[in-house]
Amino acid sequence: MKNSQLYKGSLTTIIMKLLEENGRMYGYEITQKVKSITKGELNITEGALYPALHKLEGEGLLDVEVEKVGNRLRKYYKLTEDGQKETVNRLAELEEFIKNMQTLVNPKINPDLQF
Amino acid sequence: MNKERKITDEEVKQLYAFTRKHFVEYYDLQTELVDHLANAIEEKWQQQPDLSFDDVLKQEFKKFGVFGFMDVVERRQLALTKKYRKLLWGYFKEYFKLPKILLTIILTVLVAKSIQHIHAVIAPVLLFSILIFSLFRFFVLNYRYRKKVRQTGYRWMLEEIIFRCGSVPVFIFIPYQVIEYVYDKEYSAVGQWILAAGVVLFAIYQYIILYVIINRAEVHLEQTYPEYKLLKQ
Repeated sequence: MKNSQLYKGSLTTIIMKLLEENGRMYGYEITQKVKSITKGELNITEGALYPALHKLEGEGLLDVEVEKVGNRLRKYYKLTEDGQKETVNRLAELEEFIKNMQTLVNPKINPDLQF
Repeated sequence: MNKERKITDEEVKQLYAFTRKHFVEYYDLQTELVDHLANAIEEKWQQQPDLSFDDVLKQEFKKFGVFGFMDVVERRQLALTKKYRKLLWGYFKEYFKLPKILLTIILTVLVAKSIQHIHAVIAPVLLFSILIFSLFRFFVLNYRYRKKVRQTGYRWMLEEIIFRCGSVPVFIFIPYQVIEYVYDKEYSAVGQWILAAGVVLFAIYQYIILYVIINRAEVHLEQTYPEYKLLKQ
């Protein structure tokens, strides 16, 4: 993932947001979706994606479904009821974080500080 | 050239073998990784259909980093062990709610009264007996699990955690010091009750990990792995 230190903490929120919008998704689909939305700027690595999915599943925020697709089994993830509630909280938290970072990094945007 | 080149059945088998070769022994994780690799390879073939299966596989595997699948396996193990502990705690709590709390109370009273009226040695004898019995049961369960894996050819991570009692030795609670400490001593009345409660808690814990969760294993496995049910059909 591009500049992983900065994005690392937001990975689970990104996954949850995608699942909220798309219903159910499988691992590979998530990596491709992120790549296409960010036009290749952000690339979720496989080594980070699956542990994050399994962690969310273990916490009861995601549910799994398995289907036979062609000659192989595919595992889909979707948000549980708890997961949907948690997505709202985490997104609010992330937005707050982005707002604060913007104020810190670019204080000129804040009209209160302008003369 | 064929633009719609797809992974063949034979290549799916090769992908399973590839995950096994890279230390992914559990079917649940193998399946997910096989689908991931297959998707990635097919995507690559859309741009370069002439590339060989082995070459693309190598490229895609590199994306998992220097440790390959190991990190994924380890973190999955952590997540499922956490899940196991949650299940365990859920069953344990039942013994402090009606109706099971009555059983907990009756057993505690029985043990406490035996210590008071018969002899204090009852406590270490009980602890030691539970321990020996648990050890025996633990080995039987392991044998049963190994036999099942041999028969079915599939290993499921959660099943292994359940049958190995959380991958933490059952005897983490080993009350050796307690046995040594409680042997040949006189106790205050409060001490006797604490000791009795300790014996009963130990017995309940062992009963849950060695019987309750084992008997409910199928239910938990089907909940965790939809493919578990699929394979049984």
